Amino acid sequence: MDKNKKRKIIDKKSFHDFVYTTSLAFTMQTIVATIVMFISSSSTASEQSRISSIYETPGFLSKSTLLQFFIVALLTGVIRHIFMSDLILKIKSIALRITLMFVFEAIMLAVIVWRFNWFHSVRIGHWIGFVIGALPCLIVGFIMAYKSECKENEEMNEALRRKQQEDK
Amino acid sequence: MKISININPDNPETEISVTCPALTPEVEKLISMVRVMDSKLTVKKDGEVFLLDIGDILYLEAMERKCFVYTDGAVYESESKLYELEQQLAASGFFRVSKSTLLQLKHIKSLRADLNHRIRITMDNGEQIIASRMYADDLRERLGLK
Repeated sequence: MDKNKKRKIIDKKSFHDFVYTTSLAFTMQTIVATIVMFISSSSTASEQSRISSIYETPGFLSKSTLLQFFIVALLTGVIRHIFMSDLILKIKSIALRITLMFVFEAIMLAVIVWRFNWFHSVRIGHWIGFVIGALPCLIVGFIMAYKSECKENEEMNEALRRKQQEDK
Repeated sequence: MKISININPDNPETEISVTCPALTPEVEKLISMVRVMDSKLTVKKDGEVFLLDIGDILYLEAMERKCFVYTDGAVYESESKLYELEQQLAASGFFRVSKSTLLQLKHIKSLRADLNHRIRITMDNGEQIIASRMYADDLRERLGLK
């Protein structure tokens, strides 16, 4: 009976976490996307409309652009929630969680960039360059994070055993 | 420190006497440890009152204004508030790991660093408890890691 109550409370906490990560992801994504759009967009309205007419893409922060940002934010929130909580996947290592989360976020962003044609002149070579450039960083980052995580856990458990022996 | 044990089958119960020149902190610790071993906590389960050995308690959790006491195989309810139990059990190796949880150090099986500077604690019975960021530092300090 008490376990059911506990489960209910944990679920409530998970929902709070979900709302928190989604809204945080939405805010961050919107800020980043706005900056990217601001930098990549032309400073004059005529230039903007010329680009829009050439590439048949939505204008700066139009309704459809905002909808795209919202989709990205929502998907980011979902991905983060999946990898940062134990609700669906039970991954023990933090390093692995974060690495997988970044991989999935990158895949999602790549699909959205390609599908919604965010950057007009992206070619296959850019994607290959991106993957080749990002892959070693991802592997090295994962190894370093995993090593430091293992070391910290080992130190903590050693200290725990020592303390338990002292108390005995 | 000299330890002598007299085994006498005629004695009805175990008796411990301490002889010392002065009440030093070490002696006080020894006495509190003996007291802890002998101390019990009054708890309830399904309307029945039980006297629970403190050593058997894995952790205590406050939930919806009630305080639950967890042992290896059962969950009991205590009438006391969590902060009252914290004071009562501090000398028995209990400490706070989150706003709503107290646990006994000797029943921790393993520790694992978690996201956001928290610590995931696995108890002897396999249950996992999260030490919140605020209390994770206290735990690290208690283990001599800070």
